[in-house]
Amino acid sequence: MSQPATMPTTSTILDIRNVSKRFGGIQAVNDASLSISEGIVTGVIGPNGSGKSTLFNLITGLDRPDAGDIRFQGRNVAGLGPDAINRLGMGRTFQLTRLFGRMTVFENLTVVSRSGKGEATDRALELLDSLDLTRLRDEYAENLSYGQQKLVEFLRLSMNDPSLILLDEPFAGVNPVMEQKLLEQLHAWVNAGKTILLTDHEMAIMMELCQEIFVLDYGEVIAHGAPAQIREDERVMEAYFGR
Amino acid sequence: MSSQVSQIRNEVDSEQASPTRPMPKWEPYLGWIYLVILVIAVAAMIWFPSNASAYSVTLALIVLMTISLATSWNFLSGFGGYTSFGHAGFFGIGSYVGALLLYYERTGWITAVILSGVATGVLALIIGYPTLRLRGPYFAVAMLGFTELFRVIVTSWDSLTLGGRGVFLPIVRFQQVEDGATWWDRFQVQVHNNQNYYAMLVLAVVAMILAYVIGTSRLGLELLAIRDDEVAAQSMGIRVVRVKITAFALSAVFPGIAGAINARQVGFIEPLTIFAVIWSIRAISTAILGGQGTILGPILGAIVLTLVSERVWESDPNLYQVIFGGLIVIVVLFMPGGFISLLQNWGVLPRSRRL
Repeated sequence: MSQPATMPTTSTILDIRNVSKRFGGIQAVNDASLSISEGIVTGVIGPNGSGKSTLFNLITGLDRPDAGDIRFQGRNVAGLGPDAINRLGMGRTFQLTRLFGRMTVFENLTVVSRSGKGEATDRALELLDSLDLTRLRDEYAENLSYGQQKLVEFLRLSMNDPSLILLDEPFAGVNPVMEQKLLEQLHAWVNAGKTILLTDHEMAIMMELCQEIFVLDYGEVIAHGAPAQIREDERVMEAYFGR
Repeated sequence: MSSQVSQIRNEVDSEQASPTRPMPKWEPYLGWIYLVILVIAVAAMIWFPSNASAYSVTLALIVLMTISLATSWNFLSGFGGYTSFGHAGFFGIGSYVGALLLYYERTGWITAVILSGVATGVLALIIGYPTLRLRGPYFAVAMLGFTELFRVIVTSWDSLTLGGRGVFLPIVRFQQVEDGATWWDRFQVQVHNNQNYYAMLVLAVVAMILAYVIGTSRLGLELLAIRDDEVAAQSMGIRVVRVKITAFALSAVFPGIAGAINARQVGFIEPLTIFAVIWSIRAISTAILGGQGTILGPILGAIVLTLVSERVWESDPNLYQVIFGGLIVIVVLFMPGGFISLLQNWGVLPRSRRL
């Protein structure tokens, strides 16, 4: 099957070209090409095991692609470590939150900062205030509810003001009120001109939130386009509901 | 509908973690409080040998050595969570570097002691690069292996190290206080006669100050982040390899110097006893007892554990090992955070990173 042609434009912030990754006998990502445009929300959807998380791990350097190029702002980042890639301006969250459990919320934020102590403190307090979390600043992260942990993870990635934000299933396991808070933060990022790449199973949210959607199945990009197009796409229906 | 929403809101509110006890007012001044205590303690320790028995001075020297070993072990293994069995290896290498420099009369003793620390620090940089890629138990086992490797090398490199025969060190010649000596003369004699004790005092003080610097700095926080979730730490831009190697090299300097001073103190070293795992275990159990990943924990642990074990050993040498081992088991099972976290859980101490 031919790959959907995605020509990089001048506003392409992340260009993934023919990337493949195999784990033992499983081809997790197969010759996938995605072009992420700057300043919009792009979604990656697909059934469980379709390679979404692997794709995220390849982009953020947690896994190394077997083949292919990953260009972030024109620079090939395939093979760089996660710390180096983050420092180029890419921030992420994890499918299951990964905060530093035995550190306070405040420390979770300041530890990743790359500014001086005073600046880091100001930034952390400002971020906590923006989501009404100031009262939790000295609480150990492991004592927070799951939704609160997700919020803090959102704030943690904001500490160094990344230009590309990757969110791996941000709405999974979150109650409606928390979901609303997460969405508010997401909109704040969009208004600030950030580029967002996210995956989720909440189809309704994805359709509403994303300007562009890529559909993965068995590690391959089987469709991409505006949400309206995706909704009509037969291959997507097949992938989700079977033939 | 509205009741449903309010129910959800209630759930969210009840989700809120219990409010944290506010930090006590004295917390920001802890650094200054420590400084005052340290100055008083150091003054007392300087004065101490003037009317203490040789036994007491030796015991104090062991306390100071244990503080150095446990505190420095804590740099990487306590803050960073990378349990290392390598302290015995660095202790042994330091002992041999110092002892051989003196045996072959290459340097004065102070230079020899300092070079021992430089040697083990550089050694840690070299072996840290490959081994710190290993996580958890693999790193612990690798360091155990290195300790054994060092021992075998030192034992078999007979022409340099005198092998299994061991090395006798030049002894410290005691000076006598002459009649009519001023207090300054007396003090100089006292320092000369107890030079290993004073050297260990300097080492322990440097270790404690460095522990405070690390514990309250970005480096300390980064190590804690690595301990809690290294993948997340690296994904958030923390240069984990650099952080770990820095902590590892700093932590290796102290057992090196302590080994060299200890070698002078005991006057004779040989590979089996000097590369014994017990040196690592001592550092580890002391730090765990006091509280890993805290500034005060290893210091507290060193004082308590050394004095208690000495007391037990005195009264019942046969039961000593049993009691000692049992104590460590109890600590690990019932208070894995050690003294410090126990006191924090009781509400006696705040959850401050300055502790």
